[in-house]
Amino acid sequence: MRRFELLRYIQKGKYWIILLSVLAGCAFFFLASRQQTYSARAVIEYAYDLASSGKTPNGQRLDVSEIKSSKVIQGVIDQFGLSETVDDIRKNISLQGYVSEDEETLKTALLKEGMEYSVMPTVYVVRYSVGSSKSRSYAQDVLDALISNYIRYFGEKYVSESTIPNNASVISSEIYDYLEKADLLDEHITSVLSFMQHKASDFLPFRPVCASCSLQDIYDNYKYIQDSELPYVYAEILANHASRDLDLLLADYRQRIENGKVDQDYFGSAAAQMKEIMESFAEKSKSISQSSNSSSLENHTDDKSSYSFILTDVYASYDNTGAQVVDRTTTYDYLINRYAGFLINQSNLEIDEEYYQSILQKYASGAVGLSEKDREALDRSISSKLQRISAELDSLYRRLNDGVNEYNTVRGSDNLRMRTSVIVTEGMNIKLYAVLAVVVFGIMVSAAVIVIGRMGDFVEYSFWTDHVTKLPNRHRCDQYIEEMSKKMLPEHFTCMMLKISNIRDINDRFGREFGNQVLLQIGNLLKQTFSRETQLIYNGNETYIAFIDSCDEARAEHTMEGVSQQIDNMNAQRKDLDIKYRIGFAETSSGKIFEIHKLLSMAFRKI
Amino acid sequence: MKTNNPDRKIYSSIFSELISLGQYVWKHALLLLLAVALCAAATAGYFFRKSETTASMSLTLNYEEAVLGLAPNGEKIDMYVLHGNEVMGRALELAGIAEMTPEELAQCVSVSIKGASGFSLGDTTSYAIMTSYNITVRQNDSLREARISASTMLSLIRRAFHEYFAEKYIDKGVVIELTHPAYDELEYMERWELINMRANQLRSYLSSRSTAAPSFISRATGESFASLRQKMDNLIAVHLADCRAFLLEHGIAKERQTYISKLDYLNDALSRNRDKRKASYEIRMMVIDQYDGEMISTVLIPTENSNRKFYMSKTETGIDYLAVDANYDAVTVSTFQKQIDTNANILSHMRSKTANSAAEIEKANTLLQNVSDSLDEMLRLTQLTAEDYISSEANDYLLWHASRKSLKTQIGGNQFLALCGGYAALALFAAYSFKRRRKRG
Repeated sequence: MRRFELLRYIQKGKYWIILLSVLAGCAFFFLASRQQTYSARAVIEYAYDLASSGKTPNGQRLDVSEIKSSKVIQGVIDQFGLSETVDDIRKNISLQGYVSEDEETLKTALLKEGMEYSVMPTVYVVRYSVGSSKSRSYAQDVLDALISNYIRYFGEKYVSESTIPNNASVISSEIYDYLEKADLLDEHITSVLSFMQHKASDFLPFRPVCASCSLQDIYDNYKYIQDSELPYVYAEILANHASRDLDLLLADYRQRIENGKVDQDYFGSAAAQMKEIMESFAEKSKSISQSSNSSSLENHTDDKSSYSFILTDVYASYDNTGAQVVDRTTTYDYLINRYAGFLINQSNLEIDEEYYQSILQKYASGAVGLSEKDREALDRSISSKLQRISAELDSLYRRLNDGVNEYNTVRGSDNLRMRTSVIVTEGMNIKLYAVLAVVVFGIMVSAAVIVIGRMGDFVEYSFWTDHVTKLPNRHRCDQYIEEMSKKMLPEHFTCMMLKISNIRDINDRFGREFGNQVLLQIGNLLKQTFSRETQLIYNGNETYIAFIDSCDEARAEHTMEGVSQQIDNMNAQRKDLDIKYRIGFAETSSGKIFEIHKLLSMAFRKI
Repeated sequence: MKTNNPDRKIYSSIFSELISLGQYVWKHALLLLLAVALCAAATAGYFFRKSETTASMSLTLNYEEAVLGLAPNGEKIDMYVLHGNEVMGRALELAGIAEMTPEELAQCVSVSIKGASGFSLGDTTSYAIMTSYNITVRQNDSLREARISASTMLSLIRRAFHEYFAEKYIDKGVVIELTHPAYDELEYMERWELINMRANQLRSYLSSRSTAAPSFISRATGESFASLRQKMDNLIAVHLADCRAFLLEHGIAKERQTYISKLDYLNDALSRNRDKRKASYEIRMMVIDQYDGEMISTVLIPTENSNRKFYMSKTETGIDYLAVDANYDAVTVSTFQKQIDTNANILSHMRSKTANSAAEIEKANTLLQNVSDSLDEMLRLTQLTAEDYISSEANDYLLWHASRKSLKTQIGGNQFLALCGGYAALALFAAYSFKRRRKRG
């Protein structure tokens, strides 16, 4: 059997190794591309004082998972017109908090001392992962938009200012009388001004880009309308007793007075009751407090100095869950505030009643004597003024609303900041893995080639090799001849035949083993003589056949002489050995024979 | 020494093969080089043509807030809009392409963060917000049909984003409407009030700008915000005050009776509000008097005041809130009273006259017109100065840098070199195969 020659097998199967490795790399690349994931991530920070205690800026419990809330995600879906559902996106979002090492160390130290310490992370990494059906930039854009929407949501919900409804537009309705319309506009302006006045100190000076003026400018414009424009409408209405339906208007004001009186009585009696409760409560509380103080003083006679009104701790402003701000107002303060409130309401109602009475008195004298034409002109004048003011208020409201939205966004960004850009990483490095796949498959295929090659050696040796000469045997020869018989032989194709004619004598004289050795040596001699491309066969019956491609008659002659010479040399090396042989060849071109059987016969005849 | 090692035989045969291949290659070097060069030229041509269909540009956000991920106005900047529908829509509009949707155009545009590297959650020093982006446009069939090259489209996208950015994030200067929808119908005093309000709005804008940019002097106007504010102060203190004095002194009115009715109504309304507040104030004062001091004790807290001096504070109780509310009521009463008194003063001047002479009216008109013109001029100067300031700031907010393609990039860079290596290897393989075939016959 042939020796185990590693490189021979690899060389033999090199094309398979290359082809299969490259195919494996391509297949891996294709499959891995379909399994690729993109993970976008960014760090956000809750950058306000209460964040470390797990509270929102307005003191509510901070729920970081709100970044996954439907409102935030739906905003992203609307922005990009995505076909995904809220849940599709939500399930791919994850959050991870980070507490600094210093905080952890402090916490451990304090807990060791038996002290309570809790710290909430204020820095979070937000991740959004998508599969291979989405692109890298998709993951990046969605996460970026998600964070933007969350900042806006956070700003609106916990940091910023809500806007008030626009009540100015309702005056277009025909159900209101002139005076009522003017009242609605006045109330709207008053509520907007009050809303703007009671905001944070940076609210009015804020200059939103969208409005191109400060919120203070908008406030001034509202004030101007209330002080300079609206009073004209009132003056015109009241001076001319203008009304769309006088009876209805008077009935409305009479009703207001009656309701006011009922309310006044209610607030008056409520205030009186409240005062009574307050006084009783105070009296009883004081007596309890005195007895408690005296007993506690008696119990602390040894250490009177320790008695103090200073509390040892500050009561938490929040309930146990930390979600709600607890009202710590004392009962007495609550009662006294209610008492004051009832009295103020009663007093305001009295003033309003006077005003309603004055309106009734004015209108009681009936409509001012105007001609029909003047009446129509007056109606037109009042209506147009109201419409103009309403339009001005509408426009102002839109600017205010935009401005407040921008203010909210900026305040939101102030409190909730991005600490990193949105970075996208691939789930796997496909190119690297593809190269590795080529290498691994290369090794695997090489191993397979070696195993198969070796197995081929076994098969070759068992079925197709002559065990004496180690050359292909008769079966191989038959196979080769059959194969070649199907086609015409090429030019200069030579069949050379060598027959050892006295091998029986050699066996008899030196033993069979020696005879086999002779056959083997001649086989080796022929192997060395012919190139690898030559089909060299031991056909049994001490006959060697060589089918040589590209070998003309002269070259065959020369080769034949060479072989003879070498066998003669073998004889010369051992005097007692005389190998007798016959050698001959047939060549296609010189013999004009292009069929393998005929060529073989011709060669046979020549030996 | 002779050896029968088969591997060594193979090595020597490979070596001899290589030697003979080398000889063969050397013999046909010119032909092989020519073949490789031809392939390389074809590849370079392909890449060159391909590079013509793509254009890239880098964008740097060049302002202070950018490193915090914010826009100049302080809100979070959304960079995904760079290839969002709004910017794409604007770019298509600028290109005059109606057949393409913004979504289709967005397919040709890719945006990547420049220099983005990973970060570790525990390592805060690795946190970074990148401010540079790469934008690449690839010409697709739609753009080709519209005869818009990738570089043209990229410059239109750049313009569209610039517009969007300026609209959404950059202060547009001062917008104060000096006109009123019914200015001519307004009374003289109300016109004055309107002008006065606008003047104060303008002054407020100039004050905030002069604080933000104290050293800025406009090239267009030669004015600084501080100098303009000084002029504005003069206008308010002198021109506007003179004008008001004249209008009041002469009781200038357009429709006297209507104006008087309006002021009467306004004072009635103000009086009602004042009375409510006054009553509220008195009730609270009464309740403070009634407050039983023995019901609650307070704790004194040593602290510091705003002047960093020791200050003895105390816990607040209901009485504190009552006092604060009473104070607010008192202040509001005073404010209402001031307005009522002002109106009463105007009323007395209006009532002191029955009509104005033509000369008085003309002078009033002239004075108001002069003040209005002065305010117009101030607004114009302010706008010019503000525009100058904003453009000097905002022009540098977005730095665009068109990446000039080197020849190496244009012909495919490393990809080209790798392919050339491949061609050379193929040529050697072909030579080897050819040589072997020739050897066989």
